[in-house]
Amino acid sequence: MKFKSLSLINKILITFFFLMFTWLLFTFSLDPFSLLLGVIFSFLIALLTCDYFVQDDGVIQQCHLPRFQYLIPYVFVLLFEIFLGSLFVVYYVITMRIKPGLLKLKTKLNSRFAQVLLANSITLTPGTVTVDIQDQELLVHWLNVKTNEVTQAEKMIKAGFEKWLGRMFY
Amino acid sequence: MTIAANFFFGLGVFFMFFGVLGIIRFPDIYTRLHPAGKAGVAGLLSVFIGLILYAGFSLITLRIILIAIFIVITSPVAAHAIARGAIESGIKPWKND
Amino acid sequence: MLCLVQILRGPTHFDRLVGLNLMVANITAIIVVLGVYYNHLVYLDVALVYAILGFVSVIAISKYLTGRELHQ
Repeated sequence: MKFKSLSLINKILITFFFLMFTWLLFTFSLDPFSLLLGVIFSFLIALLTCDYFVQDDGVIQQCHLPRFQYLIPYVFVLLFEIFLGSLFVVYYVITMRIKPGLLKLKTKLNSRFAQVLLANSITLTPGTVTVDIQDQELLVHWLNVKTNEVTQAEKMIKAGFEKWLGRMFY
Repeated sequence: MTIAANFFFGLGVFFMFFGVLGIIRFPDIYTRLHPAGKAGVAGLLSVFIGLILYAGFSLITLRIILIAIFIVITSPVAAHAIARGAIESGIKPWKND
Repeated sequence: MLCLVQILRGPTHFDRLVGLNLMVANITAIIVVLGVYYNHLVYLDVALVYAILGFVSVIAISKYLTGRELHQ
């Protein structure tokens, strides 16, 4: 399943439908005037920005459609982790018992989008902030370093997320 | 329902307060990112959940969910950008030894 | 409101930026609460645009400051 590159019309159409969907979600009305305004402006913006919105390099080419039924448990895991992480941060703020450090992790995910999602979710987990992504390596700042071994740390940090993300972007 | 909403408001204010306190108490930039990135998001989310419970389902609820999704996506990106800028301009992480 | 203290106090520019980030989040929450309290949809639009602007400005400032010499 390899496209060489999407044609310009396809790009414009994808951007146009995305913008139009967002516009409908915002205005939530079906007046002819607001519909017309939405169509005109989403077409103009799509014409201007489709090159940046749909990028050709690699993202589309290895594009299997993500399997969206795994999105729902992922969101619940994420919400749970956000609240857990905030409780940990509150604990650290009160006691100031911290021992920060930097360490590198490796991921098995190879699509760019999934890596970015993983980095964002790591930032929201207890006590970790992603600092940098270079290909397949994440530089993570850890608020309270417990182990120095890489495999142990990997297991502790990204235990839940990579499983679900790997199922979404197989 | 009102009790649950009030509980979530209290939770949100709690998270927000400790987030700001953490920003002031922590020693360096990287550790300061932790309260800013997480406690802010958690406080916002709990306030929004409380508001959804309080207001009932309507157009406002949809708008609130939209704002919540936007915040959850963008807040880690902002933290990431700040951390990367700090690393590239050569600030050393603080060590507890 | 303590965020302002951090913004004024921070030793480097990035500390001020963190303070700004959290302050944007707090003000968004306040605007949304006001919107539900007065039952107006317009407040929520204002909150969304405020959040977008805060995000974009934080990104832009951190890009601008990247790789600069720090004078404490």
